[in-house]
Amino acid sequence: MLLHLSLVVFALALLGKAARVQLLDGDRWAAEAEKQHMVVAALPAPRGTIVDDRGEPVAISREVLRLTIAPNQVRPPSAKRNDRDSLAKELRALGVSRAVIAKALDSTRKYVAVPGVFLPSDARKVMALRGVRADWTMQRLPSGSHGLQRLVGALDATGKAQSGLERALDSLLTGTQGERRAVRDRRGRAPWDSPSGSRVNARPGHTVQLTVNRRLQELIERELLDAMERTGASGGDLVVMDPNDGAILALAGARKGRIAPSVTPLTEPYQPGSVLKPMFVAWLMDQGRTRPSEMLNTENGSYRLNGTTFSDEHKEAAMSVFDVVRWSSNVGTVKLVTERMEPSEEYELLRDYGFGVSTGLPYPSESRGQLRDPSRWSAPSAASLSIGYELQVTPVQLAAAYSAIANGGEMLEPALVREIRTADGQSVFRHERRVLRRVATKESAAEVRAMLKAVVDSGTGRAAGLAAFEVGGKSGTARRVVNGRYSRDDYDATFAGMFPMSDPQLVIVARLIEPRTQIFGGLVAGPMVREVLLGAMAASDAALDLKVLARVAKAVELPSVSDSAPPVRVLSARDEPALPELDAVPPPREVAPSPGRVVVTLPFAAEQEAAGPRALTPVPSVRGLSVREAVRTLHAAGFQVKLARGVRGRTQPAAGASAREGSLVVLERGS
Amino acid sequence: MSTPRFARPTGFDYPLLLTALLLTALGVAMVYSAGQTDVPVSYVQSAWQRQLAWLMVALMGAWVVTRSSVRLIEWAAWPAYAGSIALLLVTLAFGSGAGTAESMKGWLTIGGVRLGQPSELAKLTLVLMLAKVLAGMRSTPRSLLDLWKPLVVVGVPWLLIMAQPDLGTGIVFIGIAFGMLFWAGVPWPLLIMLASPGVSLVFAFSTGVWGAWFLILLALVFWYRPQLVEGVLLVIANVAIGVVAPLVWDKLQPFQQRRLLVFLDPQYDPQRAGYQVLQSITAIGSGGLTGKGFTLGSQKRLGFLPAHHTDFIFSVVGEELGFLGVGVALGLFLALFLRSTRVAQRGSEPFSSLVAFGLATGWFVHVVVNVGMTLNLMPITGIPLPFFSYGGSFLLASWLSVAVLLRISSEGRGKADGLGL
Repeated sequence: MLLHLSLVVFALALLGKAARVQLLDGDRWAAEAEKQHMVVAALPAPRGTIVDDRGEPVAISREVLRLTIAPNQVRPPSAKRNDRDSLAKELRALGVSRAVIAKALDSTRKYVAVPGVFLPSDARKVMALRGVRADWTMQRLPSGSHGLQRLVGALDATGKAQSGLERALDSLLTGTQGERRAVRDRRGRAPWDSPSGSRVNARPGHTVQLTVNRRLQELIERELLDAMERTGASGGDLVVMDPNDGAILALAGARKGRIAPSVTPLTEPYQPGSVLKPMFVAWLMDQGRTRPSEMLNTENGSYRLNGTTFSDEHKEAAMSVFDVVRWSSNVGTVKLVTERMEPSEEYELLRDYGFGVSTGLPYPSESRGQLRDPSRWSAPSAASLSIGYELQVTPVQLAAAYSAIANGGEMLEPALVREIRTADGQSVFRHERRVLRRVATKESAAEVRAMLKAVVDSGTGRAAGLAAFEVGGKSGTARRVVNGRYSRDDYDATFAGMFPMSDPQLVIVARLIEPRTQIFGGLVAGPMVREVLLGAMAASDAALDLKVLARVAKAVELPSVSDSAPPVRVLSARDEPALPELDAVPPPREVAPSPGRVVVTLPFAAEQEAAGPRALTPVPSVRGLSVREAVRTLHAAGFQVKLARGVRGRTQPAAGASAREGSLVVLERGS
Repeated sequence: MSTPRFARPTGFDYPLLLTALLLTALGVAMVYSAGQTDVPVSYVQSAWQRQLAWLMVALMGAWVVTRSSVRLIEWAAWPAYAGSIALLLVTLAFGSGAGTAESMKGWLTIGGVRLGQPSELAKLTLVLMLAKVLAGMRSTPRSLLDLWKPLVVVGVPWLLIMAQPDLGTGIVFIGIAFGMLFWAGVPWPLLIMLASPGVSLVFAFSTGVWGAWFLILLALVFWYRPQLVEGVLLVIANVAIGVVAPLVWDKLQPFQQRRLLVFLDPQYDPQRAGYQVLQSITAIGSGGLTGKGFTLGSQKRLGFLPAHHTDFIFSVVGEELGFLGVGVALGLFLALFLRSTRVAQRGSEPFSSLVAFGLATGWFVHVVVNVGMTLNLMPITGIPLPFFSYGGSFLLASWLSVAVLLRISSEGRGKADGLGL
């Protein structure tokens, strides 16, 4: 009996201990067990792709590897295999420097981080060796022109958005991280197919389609640099906007001597000068306070008001309102605005055109310019504002304002993002034409467009003209403020143009800072507009509807290809010294012998419709291949190849990035 | 209250057989589960099949034993004992380690084929031989000198086993010896005095504890008044051991030292022996109330649990079947002990009673030490769990023991005790 009781007591003691371990402390031990065998690995979510308006990638993310090596875990050489030699060989093939390889083989070290990132396909062999650890990360590959990359912005080394659209749209581009809960065994091998593993896939970020067209962007960037070269300007901006839906098709900025850290057409406002004149005229016509044909006394080009003298380049005793715009008469404009508008009306007009107001574009450091409230105006302010001084506007604001005139008086919301799609293609946002307000009636907008057309046909903006199409626009030449005073030598030359006049498809704002050969906006910035238009028409997919263009092509008197009739030339020669630029430009080749109409040959449009955008293919990795093999590989993948000096085996676009078939891949060979 | 008749079929101890069968079934199932890992080890994976084959052999052997009589068993005690001593000697010469017990020479290996562990059979033959010797004693021993015969019977195989070295089996031998001496009616002061050198050895690590123990021993000696020479020798032996113990400590194998230390402090060297305790308790604890499911224990599957098919198979029970499984297993063992001690109590004559009690004691030491080890109640001694741990010789020995018990039970007196057992 006693014996049996003591046996029961023993059994209960064991059971009691088991109860304590399993029931009381069970959760703690379960957590301990989980800690031992569960590896929770974050699955990085690919950042959303940014594409241009044709769907060509501008910034994509790809999975790459970072390698770390534990030299003391590398298997020591044996008769069968020599891991140390294999490791050295593979690292050499990856282009790792000699010094790092030496460290990686130094078995007294515990941990060597290999600098740089590697493609999984390249690093496959080295990953298989013991002692090599590979961590997945995402690498952002920007492509496209310099200016486009600045607009898109950059990520820092940790993948955090630093600037540009990347930062502004960060929450959309960032995906949702996934999680892989894998089990590992005692020796650290993972993962195993075990009932307790799980996986939550990462959700990639949204795809952002820009309104910016890559081709057009490259075109205007090139043109901007060319123009700076031509004119000796110290900088400039170019904006191309679709006036019918507010989409910004391209925007570029350049400053001599500094790599502009941001997109200057959005971030750096300036005093635009005469380009604002048409807005006032349109408003006055809408209010019935003037007509295009009304004659104004322009005081022989010199008019004193509140102690300030306003003078004209094109001096006349009297001009019609139409000519005030055509010849950019300061006297006429100042008289019209100061005599017929209240300061509050003037202020509200400028506000309505979007000046001094943020455009709402998703760019982090966008400037809203500067427009002072009338209560803070000085005596000459009303007059100065009418000719584009005492306020600061960005080129993008100007483009938006001109778009309103181009589309018949509706101020549209400008856009940089055309569409945002989830990774599986579902559209979550699409830019729609959105009217903010009406700033002019259709009729007065059309009247103003006629004046702008005259500016190019026969006024200050003739250098912007095209032989085959009607271009309109307005020049502006403003003194720059240097050390708090208006400079006598430094100017901002602006030309805001639109095209074609019958149904504008593009609004182009060109600005040059401190041009040296000429100062007038019409003369230095006007040709930029023309060059951009020529380029846009020549490019097959630069956002122009060539069929519409073919319809609206203007009659050209053959064989003359001159943009201006001789009398007008004489007229313009009177107040504008010479137009060397104009003469240097060869006539457009599209001029066809058909009577009265120019037919734009349509190889571009046809090609576009037949082939469509070429397929996107990832650029293959050619690391470790000989130049010959690399070229063959790239050709086989459907790319054209250009050789350049640089890091051997590197390509531009980088391996893994997508590029259109048939596009050019720069292959770097060791220097 | 009389026991219903249908529960007591004449002559045969079905409850004992049923308990042993249930334990074996559960055990083979756990050996099967032990092979189900994410990193399969083919030797462990197929262990359950070999275990089943051994079970067939064991059941046949058991059947043969139940056909014989207790007299025949008693007659066979001497040859069996001598045979197992011979086997142990051969093993010392040709033995090898195996599996999770690589560091000792416990397996009889001929031509590279491991035939089995003679020490497992030696437990059975020791019980038979000791029972025979103790049953032959005319009077109750009053002095340690009276115990020389049983002590020699235990000592010879014990020394051979400690020479392998197999501390776990050695402990079982000592447990069996004390249990049977107790059952034979040796007075408890004598047993304490017998154990005193060993106790001194353990307590020698702390001078204070050893001092207290020594005072108690002195008091016992004065009260019990053994022969003068014996008492003096005993005291001298205890003093000597208390002093010599640290030197002996140095003689222990490093892994044995570690195991003892880890028992005293589980955080000691957690990478090695402490690792085993920690993993065992992690596995058992993470099983919770109902366990992770048969074959689904993650700590076992992923190789965190060491020796999970042999010494730590009870941890697999805890992890996969939870507290309920542990309860069932311990309940079955308790039933086994209760049933076999009942057989001992109702043995018709001293030999069979002693044999029954000796066998029960052997299992009891195995279970308490093994389960205690997996639950961190006992030091790690590398001792298997009867009916569960993978190992053919032990299964064979266990089932031969069951058969002996069944035989004794069928020849015993038919009266139930107070518990109705």
